[in-house]
Amino acid sequence: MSISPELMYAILSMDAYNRGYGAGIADGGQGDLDGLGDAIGTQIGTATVVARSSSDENSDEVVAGFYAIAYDWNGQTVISYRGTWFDKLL
Amino acid sequence: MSAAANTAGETVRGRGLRRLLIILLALLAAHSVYRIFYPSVEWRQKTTVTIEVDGEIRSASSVVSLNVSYGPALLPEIKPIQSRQRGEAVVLEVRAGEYLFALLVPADAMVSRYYIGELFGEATAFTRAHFLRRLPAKLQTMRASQELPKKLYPLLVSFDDIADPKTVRRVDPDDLAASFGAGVALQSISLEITDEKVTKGRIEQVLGWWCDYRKRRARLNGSTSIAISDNELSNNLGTGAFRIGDCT
Repeated sequence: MSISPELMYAILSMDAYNRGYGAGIADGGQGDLDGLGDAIGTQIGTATVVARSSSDENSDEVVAGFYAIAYDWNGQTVISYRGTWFDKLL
Repeated sequence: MSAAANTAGETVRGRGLRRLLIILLALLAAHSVYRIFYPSVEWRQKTTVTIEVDGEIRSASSVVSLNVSYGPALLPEIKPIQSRQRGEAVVLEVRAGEYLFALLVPADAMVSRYYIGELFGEATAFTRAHFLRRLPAKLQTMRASQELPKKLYPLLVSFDDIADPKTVRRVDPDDLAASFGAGVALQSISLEITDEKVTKGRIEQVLGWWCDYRKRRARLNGSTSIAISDNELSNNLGTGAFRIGDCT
């Protein structure tokens, strides 16, 4: 069964909250530092992770509470991001 | 000025001071009530890496400070748990000029149920304010050093050339000999709650390039791009894996 683009976009927009530093959920992997994992090549359904922002605690992205991840899905690039955490700015 | 005018002035000043005192007490009381519902806890923990080199035991430690506070999630984007860390990675000289680094575990991962929560055996860990309220007593039970299970090991790395951050490579905790030669093996990685000072300066002492890379916000391969599109270790590790904060 094919999935509608709208549903896939909704899943991927939610997925950004579950990967990388400060992920909302965890899979219990080694040290579990990256939620569901954000290694390049990771699959979610038929989408594949092709790029992401840094999870380094000294990076401007993390200090600002920003995280972005890009997927290849059906030949197009889908970018999903989260931030800003207000508490990081206080 | 007459005595009556002086008295009137003092009365006004007195009322002003009283009002100021009442406001300060009210703010203090409000803060105390806020902290009951939204607690904040800070502690220091020491990670010790112990290895065997040609039959000789060697170890090195590092103390980091962690602060966890719980706050109201007024908007969906606001995370109720805020965690901060200060300190640096464990640096262990295996042989002259050859170093093993046990990298910092990110603060949010450290305080998740898969770290401290795992050690406490608490499924909810830091996701509940009531756990934070009980945390200080819990931390006291961790003053004795305890060995970490392998799943909680920090990432271990070394450098082919300590002066070149691009040469960083992962070290297999089960096979230190593959990185450092025969006769080298990991004995344990342990954690304890401590009152010792936060470790400072060792990383910059050993990694001469650290401060320059920190200032440039560069990752270990020198890249400053936002997007990371490969799994190469030097493109994924930044200076924050070795030390949180600015140059000393």
